[in-house]
Amino acid sequence: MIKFFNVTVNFYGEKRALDNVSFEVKKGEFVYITGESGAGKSTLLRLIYADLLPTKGVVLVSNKDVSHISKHSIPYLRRNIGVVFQDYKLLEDKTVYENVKMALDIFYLKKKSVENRILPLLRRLGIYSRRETLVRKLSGGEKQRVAIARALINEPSIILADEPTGNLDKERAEDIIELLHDTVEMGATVMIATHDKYLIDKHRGRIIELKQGQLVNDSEKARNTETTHLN
Amino acid sequence: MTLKKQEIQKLLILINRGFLLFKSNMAINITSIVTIITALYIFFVFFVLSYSVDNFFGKLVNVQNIRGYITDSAPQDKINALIKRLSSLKSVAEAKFYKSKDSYEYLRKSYMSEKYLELLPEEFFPSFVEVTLKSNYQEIKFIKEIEGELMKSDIISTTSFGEKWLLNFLSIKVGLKIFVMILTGLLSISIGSVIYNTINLKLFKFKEEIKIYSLVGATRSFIITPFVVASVLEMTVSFLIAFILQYVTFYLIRHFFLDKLGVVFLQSPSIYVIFSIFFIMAFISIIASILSVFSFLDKNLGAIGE
Repeated sequence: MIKFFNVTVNFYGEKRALDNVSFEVKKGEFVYITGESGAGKSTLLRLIYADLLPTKGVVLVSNKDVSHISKHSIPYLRRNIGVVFQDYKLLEDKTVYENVKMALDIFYLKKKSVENRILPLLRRLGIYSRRETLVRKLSGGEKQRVAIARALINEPSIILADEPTGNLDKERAEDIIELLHDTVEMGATVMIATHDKYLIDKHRGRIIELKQGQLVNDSEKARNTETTHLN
Repeated sequence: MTLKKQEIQKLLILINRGFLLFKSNMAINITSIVTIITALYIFFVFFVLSYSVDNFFGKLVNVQNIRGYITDSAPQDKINALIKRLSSLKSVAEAKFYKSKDSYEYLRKSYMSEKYLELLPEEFFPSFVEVTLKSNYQEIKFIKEIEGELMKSDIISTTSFGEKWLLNFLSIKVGLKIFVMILTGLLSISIGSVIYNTINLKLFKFKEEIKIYSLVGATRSFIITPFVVASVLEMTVSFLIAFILQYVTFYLIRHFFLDKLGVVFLQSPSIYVIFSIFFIMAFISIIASILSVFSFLDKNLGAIGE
């Protein structure tokens, strides 16, 4: 589903945000990208939805080479990827419904069909009663649910979340992680960038750890190694 | 639903988004609409004046005839042959020979009050051939063509069609055309700049919205089209208001001043000319808005995940 081959990203020609990173994420996996601030977690996610192109190496998403993607092809790649951010990236002066609807606007659907897709999802995420509320009146947890709703509305095969629980308390953060786990059960691949060790320890998933742009630990690989040693 | 119907439906949705964009940004629009109206109004005033002057001189330079003065010794058969040759030209309505006596009569009829003419002998008056052009050939190039034909003949000593004033008027006409072209060019640049900057202001206002649309997979045409529609609307509204204003201005000038003086000088351009100007301006607004959005998306939108 997602493959990185010796990917390096240099910022301003000097600072190395990612350094020769290689890994593969299979369909339906739940992956934590972890590491300290500035380790390259966000950079790694941005490469997947082509918000950034690598300086060196190749990034494959659903077998498409994203490292040399044309401007024309980027929108079609992003339609298959849902992205959630720490700062939500919602329009504060629009309602919950209008914010989620933005992801469907691009498909020129009829009003009824838009409603039929948004309302059940809002119910599932527990924000149905807030659908006509302006986003600026919502709590942090509710805002993140709206952001998740917008990311899920097109039923993407990949969900990327960049510090989705960074602005939430422990209880709300766990809710959000559970919600993202549910999407894996529906067939999506989820990658979460987080430095919250508590959440990582508490919830299942593969862990890719970055340090100063280098991949220093991949828990799946470690498990595989352990298995090899046992054999 | 067929592919064509789907495309039309998409386009209609984008046009509708353009209308909403125009409606929801009136504060920004009004500033640019007033600026464009002012530029267009000044343009229209100069354009109508130039158009009227051009028409006025156009009528003056409609040369109806040319004369070729005949040498004293010219035999009649050569004169007849020249008349026949001239009459066969497609631009010629009539070619007529005037003897000395005829030209004497011609002058007497034209200047009856000039009694001293009667004192002069008719031999003093030259004989000439007068060629009258067909109405749709009354232009300098056809006159020059006939002049060439006349000068080929050895019985013609000189020709005359009022060259000096004609050429003066023609240079005024050319000058006016250059003036209108420069004015149109400057207007196009200023309107293009106003539209470009207005769209840029709107783009900064909608920066976050555009980022989100870009994040969820909106194509460039999805982002650009509403801005293009809004700019064409802005141009159309400005054009209509400026046109009505200039029409009222010239109507009042005609009604209160020129008609009273009996001066029929001002002439409104034809609807074809007005539509041509509108389409040029609409085209400029489309180009300016597309350039503005493209430059914004490439330079100012920035990364989504930063």
